[in-house]
Amino acid sequence: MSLEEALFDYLSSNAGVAAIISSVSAPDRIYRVRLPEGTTLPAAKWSQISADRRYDHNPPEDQRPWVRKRIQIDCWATTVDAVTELGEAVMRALSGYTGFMDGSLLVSSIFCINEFETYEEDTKLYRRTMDFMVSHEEALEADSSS
Amino acid sequence: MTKYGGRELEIAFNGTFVGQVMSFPPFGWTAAEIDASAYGEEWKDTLPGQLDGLSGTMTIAADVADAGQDAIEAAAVADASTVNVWTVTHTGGAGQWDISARTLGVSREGQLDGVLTMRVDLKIVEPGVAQTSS
Repeated sequence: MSLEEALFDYLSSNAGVAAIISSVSAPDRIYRVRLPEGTTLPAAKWSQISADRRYDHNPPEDQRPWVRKRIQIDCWATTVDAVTELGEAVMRALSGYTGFMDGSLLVSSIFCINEFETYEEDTKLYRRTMDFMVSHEEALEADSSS
Repeated sequence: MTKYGGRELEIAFNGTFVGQVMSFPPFGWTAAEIDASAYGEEWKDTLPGQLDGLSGTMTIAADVADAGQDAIEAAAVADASTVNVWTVTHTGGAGQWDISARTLGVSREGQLDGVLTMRVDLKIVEPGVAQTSS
């Protein structure tokens, strides 16, 4: 289970977040890297900003580096109240998190290290951006190429 | 001329492999100097004195299932005066060394967003560092 898969599953199944970004006609409005054009709002997208890995002297086949990834989550809505509500729901879901995300990926910590909000004139949308630092152990998958 | 990577180290404690070593201190010795200068000489004159092993701290990502890490702590708790043998092998062919050292301390540290580490303070003692293969 990768952090990408675990993060999507976790946020889309979190009751507070799902109540805002999931409906029968437009479920799971959390996207990676890019918000598709015409997306029903409110919605969120996330992208990886950076990743820092700490290795050890173990041989490559036993290498499980400690990863600190900076994840940026952008919440979008047509009103400031709606984007604030979504942003606060995401914050409650992630800030200070420790545990098995999605049942299999052990995430040691998630800390919010930055947040800001803005209004975009060209899209007429409110945006709330939060940066989270996620720390977890990573298993490097063996090269499957022959 | 050949260069060797510092990452290719395998470390064993009294013959037991130690996993997840994040850093190993410099291993070697220094020699004291005895002043043998005569009055009026332009240059100072010294003689080599006693050898002294280096001290340093190794850092390990703690793993309760690792036999080597268990052995380090058990030996330090049982008798801190015991001289242990650390075997450092460069898997890329740069050599292998046996290092005689006393464990001065074992501690743990957990940074809020980092990995839980075990820190081992070492003092190299006689007979010091012996290269067993080159």
